[in-house]
Amino acid sequence: MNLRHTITAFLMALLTAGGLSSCGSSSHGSHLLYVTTGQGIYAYRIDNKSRNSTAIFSAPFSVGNTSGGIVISPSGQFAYVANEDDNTISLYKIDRVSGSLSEVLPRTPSGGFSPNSMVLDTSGSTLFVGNQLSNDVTAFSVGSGGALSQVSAPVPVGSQPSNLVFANGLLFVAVPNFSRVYVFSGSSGALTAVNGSPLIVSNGVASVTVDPSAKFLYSPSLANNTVSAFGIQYSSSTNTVSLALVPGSPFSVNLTTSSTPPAPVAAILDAAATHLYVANFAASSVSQFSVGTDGSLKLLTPATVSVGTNPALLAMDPDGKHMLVGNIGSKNITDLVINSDATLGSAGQSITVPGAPQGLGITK
Amino acid sequence: MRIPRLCALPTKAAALYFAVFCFSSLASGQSIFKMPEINVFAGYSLLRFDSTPFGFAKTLNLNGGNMEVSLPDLYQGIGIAADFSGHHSPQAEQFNFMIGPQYRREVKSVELFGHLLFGKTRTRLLQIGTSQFQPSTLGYSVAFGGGVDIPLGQRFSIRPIQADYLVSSAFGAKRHSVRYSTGLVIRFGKKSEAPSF
Repeated sequence: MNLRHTITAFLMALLTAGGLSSCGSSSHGSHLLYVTTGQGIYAYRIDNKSRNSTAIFSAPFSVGNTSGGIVISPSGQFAYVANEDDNTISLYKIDRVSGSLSEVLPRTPSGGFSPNSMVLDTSGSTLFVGNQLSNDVTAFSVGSGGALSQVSAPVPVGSQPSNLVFANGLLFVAVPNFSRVYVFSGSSGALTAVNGSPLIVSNGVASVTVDPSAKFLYSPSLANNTVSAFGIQYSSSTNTVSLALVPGSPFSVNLTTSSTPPAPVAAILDAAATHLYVANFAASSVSQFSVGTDGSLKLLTPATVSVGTNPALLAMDPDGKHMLVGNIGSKNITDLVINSDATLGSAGQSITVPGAPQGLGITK
Repeated sequence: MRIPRLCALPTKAAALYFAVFCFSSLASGQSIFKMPEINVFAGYSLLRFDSTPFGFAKTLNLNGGNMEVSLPDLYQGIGIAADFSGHHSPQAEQFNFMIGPQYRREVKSVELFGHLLFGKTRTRLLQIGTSQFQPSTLGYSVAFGGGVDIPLGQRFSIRPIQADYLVSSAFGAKRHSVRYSTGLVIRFGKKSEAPSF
């Protein structure tokens, strides 16, 4: 055996060992899930293929007093967290490699009292914050580095806002106490009330969800165990909005009569806006609907899928093939796969969180 | 009853005799204590750190250095090596301190060696963000690997590659990493002849 062959064989053996060691590292891609709780922000890396989740080691990340909603910028570089008791918004830089969050101080005053719900506009250049105790909504422009600058004085919404949705230049604010949805034009950053707002949802409103083109609005009703569906008519020339009840609305969230009212609290549309999923807080389930071209809803078969206790948070995975459900009672996140027929199935993964989840944020 | 001493040679006389013997040996230029060959290696090192169990997106590449002091030929190619390495990246750093047996064999004009090292590792996570956890831990480490030394005269050698499969304990779990090193070997003492093919 000559020298060259000997050395070559030896080096190949060493390098093979190095190659084998890297076989365990993921080559499927992954994205990050952030969960706000009373104990801080917990973070998990989810493998895109296996759906296995790995806790980010350095979590939980500290937040202000009583963290609420969390939103992730479209670039995936920043996260915003509402600190309810501090009346502030925390800005975090996301390290995509490690998954860790680094807070950028000082925190930004929310412009009101007890901020909770938040939403970014489509471009990520404006952040809207709903303040529960001051009953108003504040708009912030997002500058370089994710810094927030309040655009103008908060706009009042009459009572406690439960959630915010931004679609096609319009901001929709659900106010359950008044059974109303407030609508603002927010394309310029500053919030301008739209004529016809607030819109009355006679069946009651726990929250709202709107398709990206702002054609249809869906509102789960906690009291009536139904989902109301409306067609949205908006005229930009007259800055006027109105709702038209979709035929057949409101729609029951369950085909069977159960002794326990399901209590739907949250709804989410899939990426194509052809299917609607509704979290039933008291039934520990998610109802699943197909959306007709007229906005009507039809329960799929099966009508519901089981999740953890007290589901209240819904988040669509950026891959469009999975949905995450935050369960307040069982303190976990249920990972559901969206089958080819749009029905939900278990992805086999459930992420246990040390505290009750208050908000979900997912990077691309 | 007193037991008589079998050897009546006084202790002081024995010590004096031994000292004279040693001195005369040194004076004649023939030392009874032959300095063994000692090799010191130092160079650049790359650690492919198994960081995905921490929630990292992929294996991290940590850059650093590796230093090794070895007695390569205590008995027919078998020696002992003490290894120290430190590696760093913006996200993490790791220091390893290990010792263990080494086997060296000469193949024509180059030397191949392999070793099995045991010791401790200090792992620290950096850029932890706004975290509530301590990011540093001390655990065990085991390295299995080897390399090639190409002599450049009597005193120096080039080590173009040394590769180790490194198993370490960090934050309560086992990590499987690979370490690559390259650098210069300096030899002290008389070079002993390694077994050869």
